[in-house]
Amino acid sequence: MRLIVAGKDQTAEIGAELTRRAARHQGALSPWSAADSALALKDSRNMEDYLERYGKLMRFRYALCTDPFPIPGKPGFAGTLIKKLKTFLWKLLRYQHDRMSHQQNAINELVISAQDFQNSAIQQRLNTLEQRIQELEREKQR
Amino acid sequence: MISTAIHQLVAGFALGDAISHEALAIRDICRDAGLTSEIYAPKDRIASDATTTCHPLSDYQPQTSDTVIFHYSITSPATTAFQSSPGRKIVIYHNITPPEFFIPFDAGVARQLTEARQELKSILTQADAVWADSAFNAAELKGLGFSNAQVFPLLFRPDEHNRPPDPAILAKFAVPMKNILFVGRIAPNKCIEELITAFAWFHKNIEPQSRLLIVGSDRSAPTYYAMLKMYAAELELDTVFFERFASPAGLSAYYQVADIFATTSRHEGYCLPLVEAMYKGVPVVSRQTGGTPEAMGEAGVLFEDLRAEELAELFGLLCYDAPFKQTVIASQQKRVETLLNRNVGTEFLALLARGQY
Repeated sequence: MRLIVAGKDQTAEIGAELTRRAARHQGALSPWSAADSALALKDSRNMEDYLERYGKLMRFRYALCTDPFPIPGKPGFAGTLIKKLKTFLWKLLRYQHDRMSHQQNAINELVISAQDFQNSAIQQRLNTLEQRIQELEREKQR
Repeated sequence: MISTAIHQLVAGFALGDAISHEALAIRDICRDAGLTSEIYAPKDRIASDATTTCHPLSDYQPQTSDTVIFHYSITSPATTAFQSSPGRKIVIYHNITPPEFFIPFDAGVARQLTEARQELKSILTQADAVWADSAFNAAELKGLGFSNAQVFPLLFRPDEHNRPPDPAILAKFAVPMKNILFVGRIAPNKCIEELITAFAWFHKNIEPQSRLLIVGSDRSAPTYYAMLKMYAAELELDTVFFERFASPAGLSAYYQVADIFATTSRHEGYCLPLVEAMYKGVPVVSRQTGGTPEAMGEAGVLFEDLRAEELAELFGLLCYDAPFKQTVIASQQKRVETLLNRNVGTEFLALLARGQY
């Protein structure tokens, strides 16, 4: 580590403090494994590989997450009250959210499937064309 | 003898882009000195709001008495125009992004960057003078055998940043939260995913009332941009805002709402947004890479080998440790003063004279 603050090397002083404080960050940030994380796209060998990986990642990313989540709140009486109100509203309107997210998820899944079907059809067509070209080249050589 | 016309060739032109910004500044210096001066770029690479400022390359009619300045960073049709110019030729080298960054995302750009490195030597050989916009870039040219490259640091035009902020952007971010800002092209060498990771720790464990504002064009690598969006969604960060390209008024607004300017870029020739942020009084945190130490001088915070969690803690210090923040801001004010005292007109004309134009 190296830390230069206002032109002065502060690695020993501030750097050490940052490392000490950083110890409080526990657990994993991403719910996905490294292979299924979006960052896996950085390992693509080329555009074709990128698209293949992207398609794979999209296949399990179509759904809206409606799981309960920690609602952030501000300190003080007003902050606590607003947080409680937000939590109540979230629970109250849950049936509406779930209905909408169900519909949205179905649409997303259909769109991704459509893209998959289209890609397969294009790939099939390309394969046929490549095969045909090879046959023609062979015929020409004869 | 100084030419009566000094024209500039750029690979593309957009208001707000660093190279375009420099070309404009040079054009104004030339015009103030009584010279004719225009900027040319390939027509399809001129942003729609800049068509009155930059001319299509097809309109470029070089004369023997002209001087042409070629801003070089990537291959483009401007190279041929430069090579066929009959007058005196100057190259300003703005660095070429290493193609490896682009290979996973855009083979076409990676190829262009590889070709740019290949053709660089021949372009430099044809030039009568070679300038670099940072000592880092000049050192790179020295490695290629061009030890006479003059350093002409990237120009900063404060007027551009004194515009009133865009009220729509101020309204969008009116709810007070800690805003971490990044400004720059959304390109793989900027390693914005590392900034997102650091922000995620900051947002999760230090300040939930926080936003990450990513401002910059996504045209360089839309596939990289898609990865970033997917990554932010994966980390369930609903306060990461991809704001795309900003007008000068828009930029003014982003700097106004920013609490910290941060970049985790791993390759920079200079990085003008660092200077812009310092000018706007925003504490700056940058990875020490390429030309960033030159842009920063003895100001702001430069880091190397910091884990995402440590970077998040650094954001925390800048937000909540008032004396620390004040030290950083005071250093930046000094740096800005130095930059504002730079007499760019005299500096530019002296460099021209040194080349005996």
